[in-house]
Amino acid sequence: MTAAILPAAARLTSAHTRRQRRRLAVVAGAAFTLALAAIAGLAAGAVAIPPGAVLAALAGVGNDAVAAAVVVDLRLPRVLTGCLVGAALAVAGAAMQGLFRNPLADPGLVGVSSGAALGAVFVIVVLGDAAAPSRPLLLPFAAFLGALLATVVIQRLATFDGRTTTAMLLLAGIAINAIAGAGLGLAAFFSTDQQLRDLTFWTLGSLAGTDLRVLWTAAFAMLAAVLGLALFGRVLDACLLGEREAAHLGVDVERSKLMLIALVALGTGAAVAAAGIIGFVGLVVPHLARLLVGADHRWLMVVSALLGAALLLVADIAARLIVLPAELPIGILTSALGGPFFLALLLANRRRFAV
Amino acid sequence: MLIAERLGVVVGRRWLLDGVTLTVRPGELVVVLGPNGAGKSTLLACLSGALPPSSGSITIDGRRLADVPATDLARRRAVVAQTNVVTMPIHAEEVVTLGRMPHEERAAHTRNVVAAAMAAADADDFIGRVVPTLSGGEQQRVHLARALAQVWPEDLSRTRYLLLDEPTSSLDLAHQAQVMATARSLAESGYGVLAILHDLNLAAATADRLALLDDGRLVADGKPDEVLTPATISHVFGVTADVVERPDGRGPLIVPRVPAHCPSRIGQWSLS
Amino acid sequence: MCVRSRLTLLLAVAAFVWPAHAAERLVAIGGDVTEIVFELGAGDRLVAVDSTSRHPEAADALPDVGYLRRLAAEPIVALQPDLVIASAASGPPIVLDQLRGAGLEVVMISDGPNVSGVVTKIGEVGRALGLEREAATLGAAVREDVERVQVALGAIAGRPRVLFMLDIGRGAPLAGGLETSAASIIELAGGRNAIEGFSGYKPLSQEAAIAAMPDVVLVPTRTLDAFGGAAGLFARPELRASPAAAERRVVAMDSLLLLGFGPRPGEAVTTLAGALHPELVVAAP
Repeated sequence: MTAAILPAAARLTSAHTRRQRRRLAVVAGAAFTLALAAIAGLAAGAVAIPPGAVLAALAGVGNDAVAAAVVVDLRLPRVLTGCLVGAALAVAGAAMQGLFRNPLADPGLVGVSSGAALGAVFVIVVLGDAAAPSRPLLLPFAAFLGALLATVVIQRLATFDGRTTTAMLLLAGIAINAIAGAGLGLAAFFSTDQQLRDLTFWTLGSLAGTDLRVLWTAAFAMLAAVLGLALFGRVLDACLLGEREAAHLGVDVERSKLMLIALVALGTGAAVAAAGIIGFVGLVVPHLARLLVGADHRWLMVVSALLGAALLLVADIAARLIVLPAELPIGILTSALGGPFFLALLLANRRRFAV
Repeated sequence: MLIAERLGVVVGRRWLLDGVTLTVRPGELVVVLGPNGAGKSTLLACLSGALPPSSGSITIDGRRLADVPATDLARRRAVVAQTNVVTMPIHAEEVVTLGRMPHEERAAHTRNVVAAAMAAADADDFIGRVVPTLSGGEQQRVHLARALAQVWPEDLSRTRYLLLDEPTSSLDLAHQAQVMATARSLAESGYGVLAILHDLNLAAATADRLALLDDGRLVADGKPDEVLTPATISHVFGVTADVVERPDGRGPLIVPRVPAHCPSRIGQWSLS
Repeated sequence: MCVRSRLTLLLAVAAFVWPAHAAERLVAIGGDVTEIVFELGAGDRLVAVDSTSRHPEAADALPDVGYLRRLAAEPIVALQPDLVIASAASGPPIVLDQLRGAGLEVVMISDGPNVSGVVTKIGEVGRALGLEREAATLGAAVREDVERVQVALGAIAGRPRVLFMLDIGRGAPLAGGLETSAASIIELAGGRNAIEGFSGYKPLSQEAAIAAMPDVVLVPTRTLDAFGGAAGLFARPELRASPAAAERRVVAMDSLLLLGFGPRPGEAVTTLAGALHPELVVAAP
């Protein structure tokens, strides 16, 4: 018996080695891309600062006060926000797609981001100035609750008997986006002028206006969500076979689902709290990552996090340079990129999704 | 032993299973037969632990199924579902490797088991292939390999069970025979194997025992030649059939009679 | 440490040598603020404005740093202005903080949608630019313009009901309720705001429009164009039966002049009052 299976084992080993090498190369490439994007994010902008001065400003040894302020106070927080938000959205997207076994599950598309935005807006408009002092904590928390509610509703609606249908997933998304849209409209109707000003931030995402106090809370939550979701890689792999099959493999599916939903909501909620609604990152990036490393979630999560961060940084650089001296909302750029991508995805899969 | 006693499953007012008692012994290949909607898949879902029965009890090696921890259960029994559509680009050997999830072991050992299981299910040609690009039958073999890997006989200290829901439905003739031969040899090496089949002759040729379900009830349970009689076939499937001996002498051979003049329903209704 | 103290010294010297009015590179945020800067004769010092600054034409031609509520810090820093003069409506707040953090001087201009608010605004802009005298003159002129209209209006008894409508491109047009700049300019021009049920600008339901019984409809020029002129406006079901439709009384004005409460409320009030009361005679200045 051993002799008979040896060729298979050898082939398995060589296939495994080849794949592992390829995946390591992809991770290295993605990390390199992210590093380049981060450097570009620190070096590029309306104010021309020579690379040496950027480094000096980062090291805190420069004597150019304006360069220091621009690099440390303006660009650095943007780059950090972009990294975290991009990684959180991409990893949340990858986890949702694995959980629902559907490449169209995206936190923005199915309404999780809108739910989060509604939560944040609730804090601004309904609680109003009374809640202002505790906003840095309250805002991400409310965004998390909004995202959680939306995710639970979607999960309940779209998954029946362990299977998720694309049609129900997207229809549930339409319904939730509509409800959240109504909520946002209602909030806009009742808000004061000052509140309305804050609201526009949530509906068109931006990395520029993040309140640093909100960012700290949100950064912690996003980091926790990304790391937490990465731990579920094996479970998500098993879920690719179907919920019942995962259970047969000894996975506590119900508990895992609860944890995954909570972590997806945490990541998306914190990302929205920090930067508003930025669409399509969770759709485009995991898909790209899957093309590069396959569906093994432990690799998929790592590559998604790196590429998500890089994509958002590049989009942000474009957003700040295209219409100088003004700035484009970054959500417009990601949607301009993601919309056609979504259509292409539908086109490529229309036979499968037409059920 | 995997023992189901007076199993009942009720959905709404309909009893999908009603008082089914069935035992799967180690070293035995039991094939469940029955017409569509007889409750075969429901029975398998109960036995696998996926569906808690409304009444009755299931025990595995003397313990109530519901009390066995999930990982422990996963090391004892594997399940191949009827349809299994993997839509994401995952490689065949990665799917099979998932079968080793319940086991804590060195990667090298996992690789050996996966290679052996893939060879046993004749799925080793698919190493390096992405599952959604395989045909239905090829995918079925990959999933069988995954189940084999899950309960691969590394030590004989515990009994293992394999539950297969129509494992041959998408397979060509050669692979149907091969899968059932694998199931047989596993049974002979001490596994308890339960398979749902539609092909009465394949069942009769390979099974130690047949369990015949009809409308949620167990109507016959025994050796193939005891169960597959013209009377039961007519009663359960509504088909008149001749039962003859196989040329190789292994069990009965069922030859359904096709009426010479099948009353056609086409043209029965006027379209105008 | 040494660097910082030297920098502080440098800044202190700079502040001493160049008084505030020497600000030569201005960025103005907010249409009203920009207009005041031009009225005070400092338009040539502007290097950029926001997207709401459309008047006068010279402002429209300047580089645009984006919508006043969605500013970005770095492009403004890159313009190296020595003063950013921003309407209270500017934001987000964090960006204003970032501008200050980058060493820019940011002056916020208050936002009162009425005549004394305008005079205050003019004073604040004047102080920021070191043009106090010019500001005082302009402020007095604004007050005087408006007062002349008030005096003339004293001789007239009628106060027509005026409905202000603003098309925003989708859904029902907005109407100006209580506490809006539209309401206060209507009041100053000798009219009564036809909407008393809500405050702020809200979507106008057709029935509420009918109940408002407007004698005159007041719209920004662009809205009238969007409705298809007076004919289109009075063909709308909510206005068809109104007294305004019967006499086809519609007043169209530039929206910035009407709502911005820039330095020309005298002009706005005079124009509107003349339209509401054709018999009105305002004394020449």
